[in-house]
Amino acid sequence: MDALFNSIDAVNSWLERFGVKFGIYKNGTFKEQLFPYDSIPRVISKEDWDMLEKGLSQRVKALNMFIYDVYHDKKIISDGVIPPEFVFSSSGYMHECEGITPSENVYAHIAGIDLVQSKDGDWIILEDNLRIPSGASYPMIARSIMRKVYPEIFHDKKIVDNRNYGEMLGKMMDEVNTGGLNVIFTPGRYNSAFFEHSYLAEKSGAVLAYPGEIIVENDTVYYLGLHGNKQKVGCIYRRISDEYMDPNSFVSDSLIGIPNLLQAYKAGNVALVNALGNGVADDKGIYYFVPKMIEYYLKETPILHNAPTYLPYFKEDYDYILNNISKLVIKDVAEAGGYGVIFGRDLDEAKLEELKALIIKEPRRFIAQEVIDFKDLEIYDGDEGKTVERKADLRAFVITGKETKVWASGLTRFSRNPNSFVVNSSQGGGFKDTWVLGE
Amino acid sequence: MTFAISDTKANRLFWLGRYAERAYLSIHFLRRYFDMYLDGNPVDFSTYAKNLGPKVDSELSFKDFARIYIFDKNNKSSIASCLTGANDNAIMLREVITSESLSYIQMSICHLERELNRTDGRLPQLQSITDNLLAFFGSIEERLYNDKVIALVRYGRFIESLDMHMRFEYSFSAVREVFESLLRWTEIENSVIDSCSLSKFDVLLNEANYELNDSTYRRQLLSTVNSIVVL
Repeated sequence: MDALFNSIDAVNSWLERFGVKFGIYKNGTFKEQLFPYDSIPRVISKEDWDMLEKGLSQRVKALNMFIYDVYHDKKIISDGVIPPEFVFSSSGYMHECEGITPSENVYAHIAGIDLVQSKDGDWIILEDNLRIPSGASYPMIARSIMRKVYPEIFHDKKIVDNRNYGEMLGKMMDEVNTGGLNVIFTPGRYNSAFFEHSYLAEKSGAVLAYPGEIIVENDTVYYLGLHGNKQKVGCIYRRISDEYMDPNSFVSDSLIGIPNLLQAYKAGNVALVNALGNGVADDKGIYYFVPKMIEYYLKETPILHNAPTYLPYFKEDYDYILNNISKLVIKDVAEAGGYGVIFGRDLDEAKLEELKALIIKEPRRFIAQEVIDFKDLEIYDGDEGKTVERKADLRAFVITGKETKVWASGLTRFSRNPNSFVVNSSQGGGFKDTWVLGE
Repeated sequence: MTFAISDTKANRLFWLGRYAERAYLSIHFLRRYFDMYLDGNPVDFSTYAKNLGPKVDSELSFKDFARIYIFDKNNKSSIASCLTGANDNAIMLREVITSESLSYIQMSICHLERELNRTDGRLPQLQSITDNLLAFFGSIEERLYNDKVIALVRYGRFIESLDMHMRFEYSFSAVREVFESLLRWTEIENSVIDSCSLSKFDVLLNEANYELNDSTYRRQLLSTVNSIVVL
């Protein structure tokens, strides 16, 4: 452990050198900062990883089948497994995507599944992110740096190499590509995750494209090259939200989208990673039903479990939530990035009553979960000169092209605040390397 | 990996080359002035300022003069501004030039910030920036394999080098040597070269006229050199 502390300055120097940054907007001003990194890795045993790999793969396969079903035959709804309101009232459901079958039938090419480990060692799924899950680039580059600064550790221990994410991404894009360039489409320099967009483009071999550089003509997508030379695009890994992707189909004043992209997509002339309309499946309300999806589509028992979750939509859950609100965590299904998460224990009586009133008024808008006392991880507090414990989660990345593969690593995020369960970088969290042991 | 580059990226590569070259040469010229200062020669700050801008009071101490031309981001001609300009372009080109190349620009900026915050009263040490910029140039030349990308950065460097050498009234042979290097590159990649401006500059740059040091002629040279690359 001491070896990890002795070279912290060297690690930070490397992070600074490669500009491993995250941008945040504060009071209307964009500020970039180094993503806080802790040298003590999360270590996952081989046994745990083998189980996680199977469970994550299973979950993402079911989610992909669900999305296909929603935009086609809707059997899971007609068979009474999921109430129709949950699907059609979801802010992520896009009627424009009805009937569209993407290349290789894949919707969630890159799934970011958030997990925590409870104190008794169980892994629990917290959230599915199927639209634009972010963060794989940070452990990628962290590993390169760790291997330079601490080579002896990697020589002595069998740690599964994670520097292949770029290759996995490139291979998946090749597999779903309809013919043409692979492109990563970024809104630009002032997006908080721009470092990731550019780094993944470098490592996957894709072209990094900005708004204005991609056009659609005759339902075909082109990259505008030097002197107006057009090159066909076959796959776009888009880092822009669905509603801004095509001003002619969605938000009309979007300046960062590609006009008529939806037409090209419908015609099967371009693959979109991830597909439009995936939000219907990563809605926090739909999360409740994922174990049922696994049973329904795959006829299997879920390997990984959700956190105990209650939906106010169901009377029994509704009553339970209102009677136990002070010990639950309430989540707004439309929010992301750690926002819209309220711990009942943090509210006074008046605020609890306000929250209850909101739930009564809009039951579909919220879910409630038991507070999981997840395992703390050690982080090194440079100011104190010692290790302290903080809450941490794991975002695992599952890539689906012709096959579903789980990246043998993940983004471990921790809260720097000792009293907080919120680990998101946009709210001041840091990250660690994630080691999967090979034996 | 299939390669594609937009007009905007090509422009950024060119300006990356220009800003990086300007930072490198600015440090080089500052060193020449510092050298003269060490030997007690009257150092003509106003000439340096006139060549790059903005105007400064010739009574300024060398320390203050160096601060304006090294650290002052409000001065477009300072080394800090040049490195910022290079970095602003480089980070938009990571997948084209690689993180490795970009890191040398980033390290130069980090070094400059540390020098700014020194409290020991010593003059800034800039050799690390020169070393990093040379490493950056080497990384572009040796670690990239696309002639178009290398050429665009190179053109930025050549144009800036010609511009700076002429402003600081370097000898005809020095300027001609840089131009000949540019000409050789146009045989590899010429899609962004304005052949009329190139030929015009070739004809204009003759020894007899250059040595006359006529201000109208100099302005014409500068104007022509800055229209050779069309992006």
